[in-house]
Amino acid sequence: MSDLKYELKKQIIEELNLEDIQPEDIEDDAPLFGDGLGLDSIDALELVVLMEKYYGVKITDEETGKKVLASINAMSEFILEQKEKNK
Amino acid sequence: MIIPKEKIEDFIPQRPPFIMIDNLIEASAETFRSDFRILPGNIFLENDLLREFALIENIAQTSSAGLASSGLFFGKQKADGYLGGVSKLKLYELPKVNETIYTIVNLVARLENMFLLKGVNYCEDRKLMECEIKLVGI
Repeated sequence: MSDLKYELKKQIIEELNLEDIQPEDIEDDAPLFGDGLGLDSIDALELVVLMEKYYGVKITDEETGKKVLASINAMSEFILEQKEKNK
Repeated sequence: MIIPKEKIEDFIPQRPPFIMIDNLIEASAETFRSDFRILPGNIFLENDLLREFALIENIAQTSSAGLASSGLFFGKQKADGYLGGVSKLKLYELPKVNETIYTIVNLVARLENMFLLKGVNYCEDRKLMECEIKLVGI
C-alpha cells in the first residue's frame, strides 16, 4: 500500500471518527459512500476539508466531489494530479 | 447590528419557543456573531441552567441567520434546511438564567448546499461549548 493511500485512510478514520475501523479495513478501490465504507453525502463535506487541510487541494463543486471522493484510489490520483499541475 | 431580535424570524425557520438567538450582531463573509439572553421560562432551562442542546441550537441558528443575511444561502433570505450533524463537541459549562451568551461561528467549508461551521458560545469570558455542525440547505 502506498504511503499516500495509507495516510488518507488514517486521516479519514480520524476526521470522521470512524470507530472500530483500521486503515487495513479500507480497500483502495472500494466505494467510500453507500455500500462501501458507508459514508453519507454529508460526510463528503469533511473529506473536502481533509483534502484542503492536508494536501492543499480544493474541491468546489459536487460533480468533482463525486468523482474525486469515490474511493481511496480516486482521492490519491486527484492529489497526485494536482501536485503535478502545480509543479 | 445586522439583524435585530424583532426581525430574526425573517431569517431562520424556527419559531418561539424554540428560538435560541436574539440579535445577529456581525455577519462577515466567514464569521457570524450573535447574542442571546436566557429569560426565565426558556423551555430548555433545567434547575436554572440552559441545557446543552440549547447551546447547539444557538450555534445552529446563529449559523442559519449569518448564512442567510450574508447571501450565502443561495441568495434566499430565510435559511431553510436541517442540521446534518454535530461533531467535535466540547462542553465546558452551562449558562444560568438571566445571563447573556455570545456566540461566534466560522464557516469552515462549503460544498454546494452543505456547510461545515465551527461555533463557540461564551458567557462573559467563560467558554461554554464548542462544536462543529453541518447544515444542509433545502
